[in-house]
Amino acid sequence: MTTFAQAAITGLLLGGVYGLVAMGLSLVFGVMRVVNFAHGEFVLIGMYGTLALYTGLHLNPFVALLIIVPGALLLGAALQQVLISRVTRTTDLRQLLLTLGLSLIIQSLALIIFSPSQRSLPGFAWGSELVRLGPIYVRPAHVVGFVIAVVVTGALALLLTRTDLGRAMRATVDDAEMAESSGVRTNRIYVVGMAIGVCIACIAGAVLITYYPASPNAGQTFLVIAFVAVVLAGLGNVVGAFLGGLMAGLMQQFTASFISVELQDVGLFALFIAVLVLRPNGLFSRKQAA
Amino acid sequence: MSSRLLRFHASRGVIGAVAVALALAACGGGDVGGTGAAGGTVKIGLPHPLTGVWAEGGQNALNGALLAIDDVNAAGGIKSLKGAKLSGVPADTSSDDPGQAASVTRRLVQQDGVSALIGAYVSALSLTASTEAEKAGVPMLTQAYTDELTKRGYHFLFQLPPPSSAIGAQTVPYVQDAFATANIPLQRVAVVSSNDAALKAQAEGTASVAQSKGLEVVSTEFYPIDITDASVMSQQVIGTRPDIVFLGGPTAASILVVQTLRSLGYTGPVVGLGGGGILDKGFGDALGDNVNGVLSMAAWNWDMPFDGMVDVNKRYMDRFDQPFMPQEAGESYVAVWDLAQSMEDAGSSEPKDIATALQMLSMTTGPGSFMPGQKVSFSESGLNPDTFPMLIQWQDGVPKGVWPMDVQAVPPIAASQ
Repeated sequence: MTTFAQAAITGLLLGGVYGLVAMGLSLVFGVMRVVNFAHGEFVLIGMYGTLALYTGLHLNPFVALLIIVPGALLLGAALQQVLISRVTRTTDLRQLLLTLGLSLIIQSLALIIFSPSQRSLPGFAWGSELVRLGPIYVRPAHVVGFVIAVVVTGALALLLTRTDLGRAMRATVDDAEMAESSGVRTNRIYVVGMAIGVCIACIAGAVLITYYPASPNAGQTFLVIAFVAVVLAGLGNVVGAFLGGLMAGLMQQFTASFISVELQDVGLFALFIAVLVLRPNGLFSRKQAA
Repeated sequence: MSSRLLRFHASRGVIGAVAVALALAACGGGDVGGTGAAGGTVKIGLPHPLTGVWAEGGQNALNGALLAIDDVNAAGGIKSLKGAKLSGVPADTSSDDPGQAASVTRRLVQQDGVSALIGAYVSALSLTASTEAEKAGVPMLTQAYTDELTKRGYHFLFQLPPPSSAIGAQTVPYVQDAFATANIPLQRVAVVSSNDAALKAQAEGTASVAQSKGLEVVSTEFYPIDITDASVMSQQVIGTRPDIVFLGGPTAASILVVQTLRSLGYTGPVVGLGGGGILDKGFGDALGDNVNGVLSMAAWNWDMPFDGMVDVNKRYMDRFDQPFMPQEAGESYVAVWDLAQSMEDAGSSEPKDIATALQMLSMTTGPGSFMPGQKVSFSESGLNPDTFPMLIQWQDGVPKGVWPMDVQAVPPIAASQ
């Protein structure tokens, strides 16, 4: 029972951050139909940005979010204006090549600036120590990360459902031309969508660096899991992506606990394949493919 | 509030594109390039993982070779070739694509015209790179451990460190001997390793030797190299009450495992299986004080008692802003000097002549001999039979040689902190 509880708690806490990464990816796809292969590198930017603020200005990594968040919003908006707008809502390979290229560029820059070494937050005990709660161990950084993930998910849900901006975004998603003719400035919506997507990825990175060392390829590890979470939920289902992340975390931990640590990713991908076969549009999609 | 805020009906085509592009992404990046100078230079190809999980070690290995190339050139180059200078040509093998290791090696041979190769640090990458070297008849010195390298009857492959089997066979006896001096009994053994082929084989070998030495293997765990949390696994390991944990894996994973073991209250020794993350600077940086006391098998360490080692280590630290010269950098450094001596002996920069000279090489002095045992020569299969593995221990934030006595810089400290 203890093993079950430990796997469930660890899986949920880890899954919250997986979900955060997945949510940004899903949002960008949902709004702009861009499958963003540089999304993992935006997570990386969040990791290295937090590292720089922690080591340079001695800012608590969670306080550093006050700088990371506006910076990431600006970065996302600028990227949309300069680069991504050229491939938004296109269906050809250009968006794939552009985002893959962007991914390689960011990785290479990280390699040059931060070296290939593993970098973590020296002396940040929240991420390195486990705290005992009865028979269960939790890492404080996991708990804070999970809370941040839930808050971000809730805020995004409110934004999308309760604000004019959210309604405009959903209208753009449903039919961009119709929304445009109704007065929605879709290009602005794309900028906002990308800014929020990049911002969520950077928040995830800021949380991750508290317990997982940064290296130039670290973003790729989480991108793969995020893609799985997004497909579990159904491409473009933003809150579903968060739930998909939770499922990914739980699946990994239950497989590790009750089958084999070595097979934890096998369990995850087995679930992924099962969903693709049985519900190709995702677990949380109302309409299923024929 | 609806849980379906934004919903789209993705086509199978989009999912297919995701799958294809994921596969493309997994292929990794291209080589970092580099060219050899023309005329009066001998090019040495340096294929190493410069991106991905093994990038830190790959970069270290490259740095060691580049330092040695500059040292050889500063000492007058290859005198029997009228002072010809060496030139290093780096290439990125990636960390996880043996096919890329083969293709960049082929490019180094065919397009860059290198006379010899040093690489590729990771066993799986070295296997495919060395096949290309063998087909082209270009000698390759490797820092990789796997036994497979020298079991294939190749004539152009030269393995500088001891093979995995030798390291695996010595791990348990070394640790037993070293800890016997501190009167610490070791009876219950846990083996934890990433599930990549080379380290897994090494871990299984260690478990087997431990059993043959009368120890009880209470836990054997293999984890994926990109593991993001080690809590569950570490609790399972600690639940078996091991006296000692043998650990293998890339740096990020090794950090996670040691951090978790320590925060769960495990204070016994952690011993690296050799190679991989435990010998990296990043490992020490990330763990802080927790790193002190961690042991690891190694094939080279910066503090071996040879004339000139202190100077080499200091110059490496100054040039690359590192706290010590790591194992793979040291092996590459030695490899370049061995290649230089072979060119000197052969009076030729032709690959086949260099290979022949390497087969007859016997270095017992100078930087080309800076391996445990202080001798570098190669058997017919390409093994360096006079070298042996060593045990290092992190003390004061750097790895120090603690066993065997021939290469001991400091005695082992009794327990991990």
